[in-house]
Amino acid sequence: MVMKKFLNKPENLTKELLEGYTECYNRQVKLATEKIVVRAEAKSKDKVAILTLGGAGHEPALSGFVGYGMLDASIVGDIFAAPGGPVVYEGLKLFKDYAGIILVVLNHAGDVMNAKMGCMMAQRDGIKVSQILTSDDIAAGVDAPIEDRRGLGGCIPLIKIIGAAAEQGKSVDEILAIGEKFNQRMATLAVTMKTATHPQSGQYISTLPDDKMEIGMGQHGEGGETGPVAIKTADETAEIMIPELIAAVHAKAGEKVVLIVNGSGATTLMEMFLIYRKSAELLKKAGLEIVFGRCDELLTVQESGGFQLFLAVADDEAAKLLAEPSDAPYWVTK
Amino acid sequence: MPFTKETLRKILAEAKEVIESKFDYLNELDSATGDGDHGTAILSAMKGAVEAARQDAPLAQMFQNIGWGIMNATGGSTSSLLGSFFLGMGDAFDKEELNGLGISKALDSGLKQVQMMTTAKVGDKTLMDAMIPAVEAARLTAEKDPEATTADVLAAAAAAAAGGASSTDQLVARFGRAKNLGERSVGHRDAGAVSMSYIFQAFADGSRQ
Repeated sequence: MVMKKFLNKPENLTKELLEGYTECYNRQVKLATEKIVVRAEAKSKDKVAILTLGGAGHEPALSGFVGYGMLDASIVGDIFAAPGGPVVYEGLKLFKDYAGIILVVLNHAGDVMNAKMGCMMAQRDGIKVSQILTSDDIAAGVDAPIEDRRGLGGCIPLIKIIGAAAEQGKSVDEILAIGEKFNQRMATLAVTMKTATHPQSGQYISTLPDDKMEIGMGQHGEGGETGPVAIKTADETAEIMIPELIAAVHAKAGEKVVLIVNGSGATTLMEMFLIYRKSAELLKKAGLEIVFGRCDELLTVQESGGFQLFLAVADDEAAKLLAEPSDAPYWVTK
Repeated sequence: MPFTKETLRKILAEAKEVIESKFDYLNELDSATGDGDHGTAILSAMKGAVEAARQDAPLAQMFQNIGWGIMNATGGSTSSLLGSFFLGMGDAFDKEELNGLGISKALDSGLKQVQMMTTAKVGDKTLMDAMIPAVEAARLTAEKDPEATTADVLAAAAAAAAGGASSTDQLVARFGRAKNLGERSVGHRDAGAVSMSYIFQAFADGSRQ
């Protein structure tokens, strides 16, 4: 099968994309090693470092969020695959002299295991690492056990919040408390319209008939619980998804919420605005106040068509931290 | 013939060759239920293993170097699971030659290390469906017959791994990305279990020569 993508050698893909990315945004980011992206200007060591790990192929996630007010480093694996334990360890070691290290881990088997391996290795050197595990996916049901909830794009606003808290000089425990509070009340539901190919193997990561869409598909083409359904309008899609998200985060009238439409790659901003329009209308009708909204490509899946709809309840502190300045290439707050 | 450093090098070279020849097939299998990159991941792992085994070291250390080599060479679940397997095998002994019982104990120790990383059991449609029966078959063979050779023990392991891999056809995935497909994962063979069965087959073939 011919892949209609601009590529060089598949085995160099991750290395080359990171080189291009750090060259393009060299004011904010640089490469510490072949697959570890750090800030161009490191923050002072008396603050807590915020790190994450994850596979490439989801650009701008996750390296796009390295920068002032957000991540200190992103430890990158190959396409769609978590970095190996030794690479995670290498990344953690770079921050051993900081006030603390918090590693944000998205709930996927490979990420969890390699984070564990990397932390075990770091601990042998006396480096203490705290983890925040994100599992915002509600495809398996709003009350599904944590093992059934994957980490989707929700890690990004969470990183914005804890990154701002770290910048203020808060301690590991204080940041963990803020992060976990937000983590407990955030949820993401994905919908896929068109599947993507794996850019190294050329294989489709899933199959979806032309006239169908699938609610609940994960960011690697993993199937949703309901299976393919007939394509619906933007309004109908939002009407299915928003009530599930409200239920998942137990949002009550009068509370403040964050709403993000995250495009998967082939879905246009035009479509995202239609989804946002209806979603905002439904949230307001439920008595919720949107304190932060965004339509953008934050975590993509190649040329996949669809989006992740993210909703979180934000208390005053989280809302304030979201508004704090940040200077990551893909999340600038003035 | 006892199991030595040369046996280990031969096994890895053979495993790498088999996986190279099944590269597209493994990616295709993974594409059905995962993200289509298992062939890529396992081939990088085997390349890392072969490279790590080039460096001369005591046999136990060589197993551990291979574990690190795998974890350095690849990512995803394959990295920590297969890496842990070799790391754990190297923890079990300090001899330069292993007999049938020795290799079965090493496999057992490898499995224990893997089980520190995952709670997946037989029936969950993962590589554990090949690894657990293989390690058990090796242990039973070695325990039943103290005279069993490494080739006997590893042949029993390979047969059990192959059976385990084909048993995944009928299973519902309970771990990893395939899990979210639920019943729809039935009818697809698990790519990790298949590559694991190739590795056990290489162990059997390499120890026989």
